Amino acid sequence: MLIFSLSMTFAGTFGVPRRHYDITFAGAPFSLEYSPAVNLMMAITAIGGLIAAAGGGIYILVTVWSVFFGKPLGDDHSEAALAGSVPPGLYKKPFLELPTDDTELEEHGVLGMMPGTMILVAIFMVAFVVYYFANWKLLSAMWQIG
Amino acid sequence: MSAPTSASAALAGLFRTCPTTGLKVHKDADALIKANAVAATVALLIGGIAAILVLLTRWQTVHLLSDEQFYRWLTIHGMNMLIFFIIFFEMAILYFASAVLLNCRVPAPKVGWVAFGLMVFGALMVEWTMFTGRADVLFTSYVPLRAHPLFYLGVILFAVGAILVTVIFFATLVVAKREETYTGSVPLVTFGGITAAIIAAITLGHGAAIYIPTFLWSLGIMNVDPQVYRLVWWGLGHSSQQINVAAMVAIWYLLGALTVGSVVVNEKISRTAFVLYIAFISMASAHHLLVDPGFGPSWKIVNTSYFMYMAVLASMLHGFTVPAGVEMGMRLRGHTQGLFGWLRRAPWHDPGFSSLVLSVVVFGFVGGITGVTFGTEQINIVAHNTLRIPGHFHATVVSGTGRRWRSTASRGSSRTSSRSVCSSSRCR
Repeated sequence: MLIFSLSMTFAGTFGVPRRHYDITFAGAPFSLEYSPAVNLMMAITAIGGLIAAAGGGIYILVTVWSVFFGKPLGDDHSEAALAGSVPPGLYKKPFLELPTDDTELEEHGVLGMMPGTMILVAIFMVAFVVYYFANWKLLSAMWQIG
Repeated sequence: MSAPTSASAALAGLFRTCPTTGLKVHKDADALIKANAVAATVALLIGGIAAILVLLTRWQTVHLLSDEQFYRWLTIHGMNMLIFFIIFFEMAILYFASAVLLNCRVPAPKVGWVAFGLMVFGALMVEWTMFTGRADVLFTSYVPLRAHPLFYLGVILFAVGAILVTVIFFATLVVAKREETYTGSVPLVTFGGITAAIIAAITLGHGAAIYIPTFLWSLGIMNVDPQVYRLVWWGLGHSSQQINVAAMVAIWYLLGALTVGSVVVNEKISRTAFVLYIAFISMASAHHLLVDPGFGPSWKIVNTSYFMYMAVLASMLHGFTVPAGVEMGMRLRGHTQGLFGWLRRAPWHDPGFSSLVLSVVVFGFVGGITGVTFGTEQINIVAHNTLRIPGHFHATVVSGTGRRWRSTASRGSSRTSSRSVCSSSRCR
């Protein structure tokens, strides 16, 4: 889906319309040519979409199979009985293993007690600023004033 | 003595105990959740098949369908994915976030089944009009494109069913409070469900306001102005996706708790962010009208470059608090190595966790960033009606919400309360 969404967005950047049956406008009284990159982007979109559709199909198959033909879990819900057959969160139950209040979290300077998250959101903000700026730059090139 | 004993025994018979979490689960709620989830999965299957056909037509090298068939399958794809799949699953989440998380009964299960019946009947009506070529009007069904009256009536019946479930959701909250099945504030996940339900009420109100006149228009009884249609319809069309966003974020918190025992870093911030959704997210619908001639620039800019950013702020707050909660939960359990030791040691083989991370990352990085950018009036001039727009909303709806729904469903009977992770004083 990531491949699908990104390539679709890039194709749109080259002006490919949404909802359109035939982007070549075959038979129209005017002609329109896209960048050659559009064909590549549309092909990548299709490949990404087919992979995503396969993933969705597998999900439906697994879910339906589990519900109607799956092996019952039985009464024993211990880790020994369930390990390897169901997601680990179902038998390890981390939500019940409460941290004790005497657990101290280490400070990481300006990054605080959750330094990894601080770095991840900083990367997000940089990506946000770059994409936002790039679009204004693109607009200034396409929409000349004066 | 025998009367109270038999009464309590009868009451106990209404519930089962979840073997995984030990929670009491009302059997009617259980059945309603399953029914709605199954209906959602069927809609996902139909919408997915339609997606492949549309995709292989948009791929110019293959160009599979004829023009008529293309728009028919595109309509089927949009309605099944954006309305039926998503809203059926949201109904399941509303039952889950109320009756299951609050350990209480559904106050009117028969009404719940009537609502489910209405939604299924309405959906079948819409499917029939679409598959028989009587509604090649796409998901937006812009007037003056005219579909068969049963298309609009089907949507109305579906919406009435969804409104009934929303009412049952609020009634369940009242019952839980009155019967004291929980103490203190409702869990954060339920709070997110309340947010989704309030936005649903706003959304479905818009739906009634536009689909009833349009139904009458399709019968030739009255006229509908195309610009008014677009204005009110997007109060339904976009806001319905905001129900997804609120419910999806609630499920982010839930899955974090279920998979790694994440904590809520700050309840007030998370709840304030949900309130921001309620207050501002409906106004974001205006970004669909940025190139419409019927509205002035002031109206467009105020809605999309001021009010919308408050909803964006809410998403960014959740985008911080969800991974922060995961990191803190992991660190509190001893995974303190380096900056990202907690992430390396996370249970990536658990589909619930890996899916949570993918959902947050793709929704935020691709869907969120492109959404804010394209929703800016000036940039929208060059992005509007290009493939950039479906590129954006496939990242939000499919990679974000759809992945979230599927990972939640895959957890099956693992139903628990986020309150369990908040019983630590550190989490308050």
